[in-house]
Amino acid sequence: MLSLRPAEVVMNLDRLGVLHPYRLSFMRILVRRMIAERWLIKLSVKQLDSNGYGTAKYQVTAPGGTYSFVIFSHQLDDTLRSDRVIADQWDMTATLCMGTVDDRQLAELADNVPLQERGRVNARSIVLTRANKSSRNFEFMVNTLANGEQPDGPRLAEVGYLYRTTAVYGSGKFGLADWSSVKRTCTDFDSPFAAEMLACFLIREFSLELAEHVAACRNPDKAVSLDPKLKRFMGIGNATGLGMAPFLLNHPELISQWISVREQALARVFMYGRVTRDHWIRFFRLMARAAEHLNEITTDNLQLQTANRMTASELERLSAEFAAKAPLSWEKLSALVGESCSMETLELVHNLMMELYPEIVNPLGTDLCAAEHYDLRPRQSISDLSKTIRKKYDWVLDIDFETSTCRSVFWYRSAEKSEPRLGRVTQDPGVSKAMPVSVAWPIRECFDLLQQFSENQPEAKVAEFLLRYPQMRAIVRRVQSMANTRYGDIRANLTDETVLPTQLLRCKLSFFGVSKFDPKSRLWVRNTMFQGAPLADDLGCGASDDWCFPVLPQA
Amino acid sequence: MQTHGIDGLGMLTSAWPNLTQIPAPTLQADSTGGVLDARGASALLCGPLAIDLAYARATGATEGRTKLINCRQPHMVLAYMIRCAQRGCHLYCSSLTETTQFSAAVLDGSRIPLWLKWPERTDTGPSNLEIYCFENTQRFESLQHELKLPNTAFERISEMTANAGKARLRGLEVSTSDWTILQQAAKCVLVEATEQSRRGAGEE
Repeated sequence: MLSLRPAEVVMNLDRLGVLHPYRLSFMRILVRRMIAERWLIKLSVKQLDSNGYGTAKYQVTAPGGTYSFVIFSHQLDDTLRSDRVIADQWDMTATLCMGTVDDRQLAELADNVPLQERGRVNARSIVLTRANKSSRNFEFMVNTLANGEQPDGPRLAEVGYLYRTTAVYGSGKFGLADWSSVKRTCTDFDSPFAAEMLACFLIREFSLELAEHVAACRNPDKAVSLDPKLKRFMGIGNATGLGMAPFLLNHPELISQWISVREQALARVFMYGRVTRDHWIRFFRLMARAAEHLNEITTDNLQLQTANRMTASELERLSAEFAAKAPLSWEKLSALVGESCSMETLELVHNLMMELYPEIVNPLGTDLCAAEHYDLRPRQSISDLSKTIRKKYDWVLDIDFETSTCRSVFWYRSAEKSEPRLGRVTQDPGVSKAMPVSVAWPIRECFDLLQQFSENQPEAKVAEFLLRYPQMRAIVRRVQSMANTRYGDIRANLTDETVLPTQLLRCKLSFFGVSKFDPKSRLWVRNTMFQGAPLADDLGCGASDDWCFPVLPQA
Repeated sequence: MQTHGIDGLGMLTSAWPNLTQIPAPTLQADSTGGVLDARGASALLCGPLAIDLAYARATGATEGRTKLINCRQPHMVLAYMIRCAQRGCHLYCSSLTETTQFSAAVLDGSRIPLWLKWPERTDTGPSNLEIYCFENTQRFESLQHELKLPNTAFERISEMTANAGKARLRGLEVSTSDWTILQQAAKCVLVEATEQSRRGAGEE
């Protein structure tokens, strides 16, 4: 019987908000799958002018079918380049489609894809996305290659990408194929966010292709290609804001499943992971690499910079303390790390432990989907429902909602592109249209009403309670549904003044496989995807899965 | 409903005027169910309450029965009936108003109605609806016999199945007028942007 950590430890947002990517992050799973199944990715159309503007198309051949990634590369005035969702022009826009794309379809896509949210695609498209250049890095890269030189590594490490995505849409938005259809008809993308991750992987490919293309056009006689080692070190950037937060709260069963899988993987390593001398040596090598990776991150965010340095230094201290000693069991080592290090270091150490046992951990990758089913149980007695709240949401009942900060912020959708925003109750308009993002207060309110109602009707059922208080229907359904999950809801009051939305973003992004978090405020974060991952050309040549915590390649 | 092959989008837009205001329903309870007065609200809003009440009252009883009176678009309970049937019960409901002529039966666990009589006009006035929930198959069969419900599915089932497949593969076609109504609906939850609100999205 696996011994899993309890929800009060695992679902704490302070802990979820410091997670790093791990072996079962979606990018890692996708890359392993592409390597194992030898996916073929070919640039089949390249109609770009000397500045790199025009159309390109990648054809992807996978066991389950053929897909086309159609890219429109645009000229963009520097003043219009923005990470914000409300931007309406980008350096490139793209879509991932099922099958091949003929000229008629290409023309339709050309009319719509560059418009993004204002356009409309059909259900043959799986993903709609866009990206902007990292102006400094792109020009630097092009100039260097055009001069026949390789770029300076440390300079590349500062940013680590040439393009940055600002939105990656899927699951039925703007006419795209919905998830149930993708899961059924495109078996290559039957794990969470696989198609979206592939789109990001292909933007990375295109960004590198584009830099070499423009460099060659600029100086045909002298330009060189980028050294493949540096190419692999280049990832794709991403900017993520509050738009991602509602997903976490609207799909609690799925999030609970992702977290449960991570905990099962860790518990399996504790139980079955035999610690040989080789494992021990490899573990501390990975630890050194992770410390170097953290030390290479540059950010203006002082708090994060301090946290990165502290985690790196704790990893170095652990190496100095344990590497030369006789191996301990992983569970024992975890307990010792937990006693002396930060939560971030402990969770990172857990990731490294899981890294050592692909045969134990990888099979859990197929469990990351959840058949989400939120249904009401009208026959449950109200006393039983109260008991459920006491047991599963004791953390809510511990919140003192009389404190002035507890309900001082609210989440809402702006009329500007339906963008989620965070407002202050006393300053911003729109409280009456608040999104039901936070479960804490509604659960408290429901619990109090249940107590009142039970005074007169102690034997009543949920159906009767909801006839009296129909506005409680959604939260009752949530409580009843989440009571069946192992880990339940993320434990945080999201209407508290002190809430840090970037913690929610980092939690989800770590499951995606994103690294190098760089919060630009408490509301949005820049980060890097696929840094260190194999390139498309490596996929058929036995590429390595060992690319976590990438560091600048040695010259 | 769209994925069940029924024009859910069309129904939603036609029901829109009855969805904007949600009067609290009132209940007169009895031992098997009760009478729920929707006070002019759409069955899309009040139907689930009535169905859940019938379902709750059916526990250990021959049947649970609820009347939903004074509701609009009674046929909009169908999706929730199908959802409720997944809990392991049979459901039957029938409109008591001649003009709307809606009735449906859904068997335990089924995602397609056993019987469905769909109104020709869906924009008529307030209607009354009777909802039955059974755990006992024999009781359901005797009602079926009593009401002379056919054993076979509604003749439009094949059409519905084809529509469902089309909706899944090709997505939804949204007319300009429907789009306008949906935008109007969206405005109910969207907050006008201000300089202050842009700061709430992370703008520095």
